[in-house]
Amino acid sequence: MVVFGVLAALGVIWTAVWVWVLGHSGGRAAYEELVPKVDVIRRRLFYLSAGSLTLLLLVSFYWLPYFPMRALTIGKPQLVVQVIASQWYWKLSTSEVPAKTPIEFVVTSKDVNHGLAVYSPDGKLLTQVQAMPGYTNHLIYAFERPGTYMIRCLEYCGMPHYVMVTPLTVK
Amino acid sequence: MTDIDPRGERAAALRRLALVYMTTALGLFLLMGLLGLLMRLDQAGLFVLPPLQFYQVMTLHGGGMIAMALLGAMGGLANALSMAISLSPRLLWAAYVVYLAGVALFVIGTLIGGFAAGWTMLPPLPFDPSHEWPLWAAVVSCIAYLLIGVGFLLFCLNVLYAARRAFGGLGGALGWPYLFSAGKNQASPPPPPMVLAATAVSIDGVLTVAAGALLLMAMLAQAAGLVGSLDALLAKNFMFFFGHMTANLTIYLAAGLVYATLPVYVGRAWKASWPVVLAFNVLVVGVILPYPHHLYQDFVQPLGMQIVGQVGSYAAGLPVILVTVTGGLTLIYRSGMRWSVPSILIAWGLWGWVFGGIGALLDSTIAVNQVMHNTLWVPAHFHTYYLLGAVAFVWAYFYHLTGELSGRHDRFASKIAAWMYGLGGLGFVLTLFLSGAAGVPRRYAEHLPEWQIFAKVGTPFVIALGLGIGWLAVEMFARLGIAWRNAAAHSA
Ligand code: HEM
Ligand SMILES: [Cu+2]
Repeated sequence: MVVFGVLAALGVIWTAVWVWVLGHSGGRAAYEELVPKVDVIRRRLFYLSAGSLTLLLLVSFYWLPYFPMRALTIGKPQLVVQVIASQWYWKLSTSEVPAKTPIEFVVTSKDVNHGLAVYSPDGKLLTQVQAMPGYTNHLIYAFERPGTYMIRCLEYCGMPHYVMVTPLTVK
Repeated sequence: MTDIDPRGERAAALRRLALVYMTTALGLFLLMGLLGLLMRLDQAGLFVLPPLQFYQVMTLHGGGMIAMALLGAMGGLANALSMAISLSPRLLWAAYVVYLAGVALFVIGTLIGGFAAGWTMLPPLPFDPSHEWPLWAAVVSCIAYLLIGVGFLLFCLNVLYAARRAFGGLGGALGWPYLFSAGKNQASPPPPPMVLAATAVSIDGVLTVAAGALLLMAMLAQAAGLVGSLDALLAKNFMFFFGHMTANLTIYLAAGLVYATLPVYVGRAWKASWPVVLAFNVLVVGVILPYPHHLYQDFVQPLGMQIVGQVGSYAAGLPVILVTVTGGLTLIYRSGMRWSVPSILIAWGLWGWVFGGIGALLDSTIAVNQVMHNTLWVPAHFHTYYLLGAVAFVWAYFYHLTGELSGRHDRFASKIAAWMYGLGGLGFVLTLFLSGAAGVPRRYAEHLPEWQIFAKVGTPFVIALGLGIGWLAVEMFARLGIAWRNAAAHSA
């Protein structure tokens, strides 16, 4: 929802500019005089967006979901859960894990591509990783609160894809 | 040069060709749009589409829409470009036939064969033995994509050939003499922006089709039992290179139509300035870089590729958006713009291109993608810059062209319809973005009760969009007869 907030905020700014320009489509200004002014605005916009994107790029690396980064930000895994996806169910080496403990999900697939996505008890998407045939992905995650979490498939894998769900209990 | 004479036979043939390409695209859009409405109604819980049918419809809608948008953009541009370069009507008719054969095969594969692997057909799903469709349906669908690819390839090759001839080489068509003299080389003014757009797109189009064809042949070879199963990661890289690039290139191709249309309504000339030339040159390389953002959740993908995906996504779209959108808005500002269906649709297109771009930029951030990947945020962003971007530009050009050729002008109701198209689209994509932010997965044939509210709110907007484009379509179709006749004689 933070992300939607950012989209909405930028969207409102952009829409305001758009409406303003459309509202000022009437009249006649000398185009040749406008062009150099817009060149300046465009250059500033370019530096502004290039600058903020570079900043966003660097800052965002902190949340990289890949193994070495999560081992730093969340902690070295204390427990391993083997996950095998197949059409159309999940096989977990355990269906119960402790809270507040970095857990390593070792994820693969027996047939087609699947996607392991963990949803919180109140339905928020918390983390995900792909389950791929012939490959093993390692995902670290620590659950904050006990409760019943849901693992849903997030990579389309055939007709029953949308019912490929299994609960995960966090104690 | 006589062969770019607008009164010539060749120009007349291209006008007719454009009418046929775009009429086909609009017809396909209306059909595929109905399928889209059915899916959204199903997700709202207002209509039950059994899952098997849902996924066939989803696959057809996805592939069909991508194909129709590309077809419309190619057709429009084939005519718009005839002012500057000389495409071959005969070759483009051949491309049309091949392309349509591909689309027809795809309809057969999905609706009759029951093929439902999604428009991305990610291996090994298409040939997986436990699925619901026969092998032939998957084979037919692969061949369908190949034919569509060949149609696009013919267009690209034709553009490259003609642009080289008209501008003394590809460098000329990309405005290099002007670019590298920092805009000071007055002796060689840059080509018109639509030539830049078409050339940049065509170079990458050739690469795209080559990658796609390689993958599709490998898939067919697997189906025939000639090779074992394809490597899942490699196949994914190829598929998204192909799929992402095709979708992306469509947008830039359609942007070429804005350069051709907007000047007419604002009464100002839109020349390529130095930043415009630079932006399209950057695009040639830039558009290749972002595709790895589809593989962020494939943790085994080399880290370097993931970073390139994020950097490339930030860098690729920015220059062209910046020059085209600021350029477009400047053109409109205090121009005394004629408010007409094409200018309204272009205004919406500019809005959606930027808004969809913001959604895309956010999602191409690896940290964000971690919780947005394969949620409805993804369809949200690409529906935004298709419906309210590329596709809006195509309809703008189609309306403009049929208006010019038939001498019929829009009425008050037409303008209302154009605004409805935009507002309906806006509401529809906002509900998709909201669903995505709430974690609702994409490609779910049935939505949990707590998710249905988004699709419920979205439905009236889809209907408004449908009524808007339906009205405009009736007007455009009604003009076709006269437009077709006048296309041969017209001299503008
Ligand atoms: C006319 C209005 C449209 C409506 C109501 C609509 C609706 C939908 C819906 C409900 C989905 C399924 C979303 C999901 O659960 O994953 C979808 C998917 C899709 N749509 Fe649309 N859509 C429309 C227009 C377009 C346009 C103009 C394009 C592109 C030119 C497009 C391309 C796609 C693609 C590529 C998919 C993904 C298919 C897949 O996942 O395999 N749609 N659309
Ligand atoms: Cu699945």
